[in-house]
Amino acid sequence: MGFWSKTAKLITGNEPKTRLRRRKLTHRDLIRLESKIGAQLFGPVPAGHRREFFCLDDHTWIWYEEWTENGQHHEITTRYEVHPNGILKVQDGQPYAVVEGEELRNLAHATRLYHDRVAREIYQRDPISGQPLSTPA
Amino acid sequence: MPNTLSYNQDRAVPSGERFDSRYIFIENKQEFEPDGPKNAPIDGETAQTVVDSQRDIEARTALAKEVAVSYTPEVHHISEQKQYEQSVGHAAVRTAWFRQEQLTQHELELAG
Repeated sequence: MGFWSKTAKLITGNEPKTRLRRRKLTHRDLIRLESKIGAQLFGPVPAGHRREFFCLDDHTWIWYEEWTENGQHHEITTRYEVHPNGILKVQDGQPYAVVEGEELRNLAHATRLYHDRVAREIYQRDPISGQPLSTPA
Repeated sequence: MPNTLSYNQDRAVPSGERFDSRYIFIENKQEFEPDGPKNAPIDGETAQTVVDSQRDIEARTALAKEVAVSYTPEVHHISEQKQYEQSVGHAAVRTAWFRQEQLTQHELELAG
């Protein structure tokens, strides 16, 4: 913890706000932070893989997986779109498909966990009430 | 019986026959007047018809129960699917809201 952080804690009694406050934030910055949490929700990422999972906007979830196998580079981007009639899954070169069954259950659990963790760990808000979390004195 | 089967009363009737509401009266042990007045004597042929009808009813009842059993999980399945879909949408809306609030607050802090 740096000098200013220590000073801030001494004065306010609270942990200093994260680096979120130090420079101008962008939408992309926040998504990048969220995706670090999202990537952990489906278990360990295999060696050599890169995974991203994040909420793009208020009706879209993105899963991105990238890896190299036998010298060949692979990447899959999956988009889950929330529609009034169901969740549609879109992958490169594939037709739209309605998500159901186990995949839907897993997606629902993952997005719920994502929401709860992102609310607490990035935005310091209570996931249910949406109110800022009170910092213990 | 596949659980995608949707309930239809007509499906409870063996193929080739139409549902006859008179069978309901037999099933409920109420008055049954297939061919005449309530107290008319029943000849052998009519009696056999009644017996056959009773068998049909039992077969139909069994089939209806089977259909009903297969129908119930489907209703549950649809409901459960809807709940999961709503959960996914809800999480997206809420997360987007948290993010926007953060950006707005950040803008205000920078401006202040």
